[in-house]
Amino acid sequence: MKRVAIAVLLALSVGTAGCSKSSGNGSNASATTPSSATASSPTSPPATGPVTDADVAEVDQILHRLDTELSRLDSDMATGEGEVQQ
Amino acid sequence: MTRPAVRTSLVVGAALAVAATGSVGLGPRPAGAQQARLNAAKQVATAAITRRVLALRELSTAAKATARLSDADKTALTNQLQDQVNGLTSLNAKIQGDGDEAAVRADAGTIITDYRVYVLTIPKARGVVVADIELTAEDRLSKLAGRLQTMIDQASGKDTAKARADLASLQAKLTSVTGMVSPLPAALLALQPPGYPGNRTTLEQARATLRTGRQTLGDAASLARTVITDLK
Repeated sequence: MKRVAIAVLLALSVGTAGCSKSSGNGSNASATTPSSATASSPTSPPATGPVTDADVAEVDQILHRLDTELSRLDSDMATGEGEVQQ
Repeated sequence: MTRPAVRTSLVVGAALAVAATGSVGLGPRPAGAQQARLNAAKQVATAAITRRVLALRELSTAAKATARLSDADKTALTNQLQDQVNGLTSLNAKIQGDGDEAAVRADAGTIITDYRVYVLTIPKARGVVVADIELTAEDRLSKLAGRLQTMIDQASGKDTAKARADLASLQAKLTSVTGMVSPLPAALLALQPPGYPGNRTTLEQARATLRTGRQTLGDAASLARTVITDLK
């Protein structure tokens, strides 16, 4: 029984690795990198109570996402219409 | 037309011309070879359209995830992106039905002139998404500022002068961000392909404003931490 369970787990892990590899190759046709704007937002802080550094750290997470998108904006604006042509 | 845009047109034109006419073009060509060149020109156009549609769809996903845009701006953004996807898809169908190389060449040229996907649509949509994130951060910091104000008000027996001054600075930063970033989505969404390259200046100004907004939000977050320290 134990051997069967181990074999199943191994098979699943190999399959998962294969899927990850192939999906990683799937977006090469896109001229832009995937946006992180769809990533889940940080959980909302409590509406009341003393403010802690952890509350500000949640803002930092938003600013980090902002930095990523600003970098993409820079990249977008540096890309001319022709540089993506064959 | 800017230098990259001119270069782009030349490159695209040259590529399509080669695909449509052959690199040497000497003497009469057999019909089979002509058909092959026609097909090649269509493939070049299809590839150019596919790349643009993929990029537009990626931004459509980001647009749907925006949190602080007005309903009108959010709808305008998603509609503009979808309109371009639809237009390019129809254009591709037309190109596939073109019967000669000249028609393909003419239609393929409109991929650039009618849509301006890379030089206008993608950057402007990204700018709107960035503005939304900045307004989200401002909103979050504004809520923290309200709670910091309550902490100051309830800090009986403490000298809260510095905390009050730092909180006032924080609130001024947030007011500044709101003032500079709130108008950007509508201004960016008003930019349309026929206005290119003249409207590129608006795009550049918006990017500079968003950079300033980011810096100001960082300062505001630092001030929030300072107020917390002031009250310890």
